[in-house]
Amino acid sequence: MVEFKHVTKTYARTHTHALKAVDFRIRKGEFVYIVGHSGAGKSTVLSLLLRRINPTEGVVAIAEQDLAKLRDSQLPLLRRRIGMVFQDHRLLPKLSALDNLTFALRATGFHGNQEQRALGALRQVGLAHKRKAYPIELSLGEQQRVAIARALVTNPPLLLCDEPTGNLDPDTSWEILELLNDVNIKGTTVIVATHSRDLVDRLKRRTMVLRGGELVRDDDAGGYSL
Amino acid sequence: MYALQQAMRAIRGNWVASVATITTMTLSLTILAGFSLLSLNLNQVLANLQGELEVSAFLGPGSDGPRLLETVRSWPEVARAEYVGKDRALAALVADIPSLASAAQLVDNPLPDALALRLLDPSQTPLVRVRLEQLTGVIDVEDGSDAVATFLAVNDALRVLGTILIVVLLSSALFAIVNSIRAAITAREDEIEVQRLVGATRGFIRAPFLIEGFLLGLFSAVITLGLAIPGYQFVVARLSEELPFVPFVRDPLLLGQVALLLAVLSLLVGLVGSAISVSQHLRERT
Repeated sequence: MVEFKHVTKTYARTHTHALKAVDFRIRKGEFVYIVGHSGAGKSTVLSLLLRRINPTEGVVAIAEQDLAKLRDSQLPLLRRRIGMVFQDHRLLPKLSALDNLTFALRATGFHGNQEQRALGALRQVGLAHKRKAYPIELSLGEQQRVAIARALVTNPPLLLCDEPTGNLDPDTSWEILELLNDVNIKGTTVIVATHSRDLVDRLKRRTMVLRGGELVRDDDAGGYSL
Repeated sequence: MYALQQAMRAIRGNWVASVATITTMTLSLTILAGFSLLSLNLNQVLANLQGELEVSAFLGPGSDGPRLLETVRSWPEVARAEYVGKDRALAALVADIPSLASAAQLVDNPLPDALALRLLDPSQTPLVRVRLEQLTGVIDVEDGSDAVATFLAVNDALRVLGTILIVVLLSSALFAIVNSIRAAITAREDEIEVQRLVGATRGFIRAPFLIEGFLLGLFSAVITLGLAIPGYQFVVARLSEELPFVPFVRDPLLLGQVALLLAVLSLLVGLVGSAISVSQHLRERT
């Protein structure tokens, strides 16, 4: 489903080599951790998958489609097939939990019953009862759940998570991880970029380790080892 | 509908910038309207002046007036020609300046006989003048071309000044819109980021800002026309009392065209300004 073929990314302005000749393939339905220290290149991998940036060399492909060859007008269609969760959740503070989800649906041109669909996604993350709450009225863990619901509300086959537990305590982090695991069990391919040793060791899944932009380990058995 | 709601929300939410933009645009457009109407009136006065321009050929003593009249009437440039005897010329002069009546009785009539010509096209005055001067019996030729030339020079200078004014004022209106839309984009950066991430199309993201620019242009046009047209009618009504001989532009069709032009200009400035801002600040760099 996702393939990196000899991908190098250099940020010309800062002369930073974020990724160096990285190769991997992620199959449909997999749960994959991308781990590494800050600056290892984790976020660059996710940005390439969203085609927010293009590789300097190599090919990034989703479903056999070379993303660099997509026209700008095709980007929205790509992104509708990818859910994205950030460490800082990026919920809109002036919208309720439910409205944050309907906002995303409206932006993608969803024509069905937006409220019903959004409520279904909130139910999936266990927050249907908080649908009227504004982000500031929710705990950090709940905010991240709403962000996950927003990422899932369009039923994307691929979910990308950039440090989804970075701001959370261990218990809440585990809850979020269990939620992501549930999402994966239902068929969504999940890629989690994290530097949390505890999480990776607790829920063992395929783990790719980046160090200084190089893929130094790709282990189906999982576990954190840098 | 969603884009329109968002645009209205942005105008309300950022009302200080919106009012400043509308004020700048309204001022610019009102000055433009004033200048356009002034130029229109000058053109009308000029056309009128040229239409009434008469060429006079003064005849020497003993000239064959009727024969000369017949000759000039045969020229294709001449619309109308008549013989004005010196007695008739003096009577007309006294009618125009009654104080000369007593003086006229004291001396012999000093005025010569003359031919008065109206041309089909006033621009052919120099040509006709030369031909008149070549006729035997014609001692002098007079036309109003000097006055018209002065008027034309003033009109041309105003046209140049008007063009510069248009460029300066429209640029300031354009910059006002560009800044206003940039402020709106900055205020909604988070929303735009989310829209991009979930896969909103470029049109969906940009439409509210383009509509906002269009609405700012529309509001400015409505206020400008609300000020300029009644204001013009008031000024013309007052000036007509003082200067009844000036043919002010009152044709509703012509005024309507000026109003339409201003409205289209305002909407265009709104749309182009927002398009510039949107293309500068909503571009995704990969």
